[in-house]
Amino acid sequence: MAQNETGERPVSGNGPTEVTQQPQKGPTPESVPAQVEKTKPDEPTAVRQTLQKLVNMVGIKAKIEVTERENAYYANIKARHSNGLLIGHRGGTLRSLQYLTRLIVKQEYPNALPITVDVSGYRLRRENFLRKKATAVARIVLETQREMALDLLTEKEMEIVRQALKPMAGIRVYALGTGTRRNVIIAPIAES
Amino acid sequence: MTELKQLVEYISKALVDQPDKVEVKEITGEKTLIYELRVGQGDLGKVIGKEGRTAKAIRSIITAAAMKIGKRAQLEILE
Repeated sequence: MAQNETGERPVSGNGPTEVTQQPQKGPTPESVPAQVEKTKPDEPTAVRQTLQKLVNMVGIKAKIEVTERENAYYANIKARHSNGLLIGHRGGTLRSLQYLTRLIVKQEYPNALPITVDVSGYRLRRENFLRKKATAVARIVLETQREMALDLLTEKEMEIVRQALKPMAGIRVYALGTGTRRNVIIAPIAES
Repeated sequence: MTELKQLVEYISKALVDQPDKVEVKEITGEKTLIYELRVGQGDLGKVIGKEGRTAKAIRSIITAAAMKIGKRAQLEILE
């Protein structure tokens, strides 16, 4: 898929992932450096193992690939089933997974790079969908000269909407409410 | 021990300063699973997080895990 064409370099956390049904078992043999038993796994491996444990304990068998790009780790979960369960309503479960994975990895690796968790490329699909939707809604706003609300979006999602609508004249984007989820409004400039 | 209980324990133990003080009690109902989480002194904030963000994230994940087995899960963090 698209992830592998973007020129990111694979990192060592990317070895074949063993899906164990007993997450308590600890690291798989190939992920442990052979020389010393107590050596910490490298960061990408730690990211992969942490996420693998969480996903397995949710009861889902999945393969996880960790790559490094633009100074962040990108962890893609590939499950044969239950992808939707891992994503949750508008990505809620996915965000929680990402937040907890970051938090847990940070305990052992305080300087670890930021981690983006994804499920089978969901984030890119969501971005494309948001761009399309924002453009479509903006056209209606221009036509009717009435403002319209998009669904509750996260800050990041709002930024995507802003970027997508930058080239369009005559409209502005603002948010109602604060916090993690905000109601994004697309409004005609003339009326404001 | 169910996977869900393991999940709550794993996350909590990974976040607190005193992993040996983490206690998770599972109360099983027909449709509902309740998890009572107790942590060591001073670790409460670690499992709750800023504005309850960590607690919310743990809840969201156990909800997904419970859905997988057709149940509802509830997490109660006890002082």
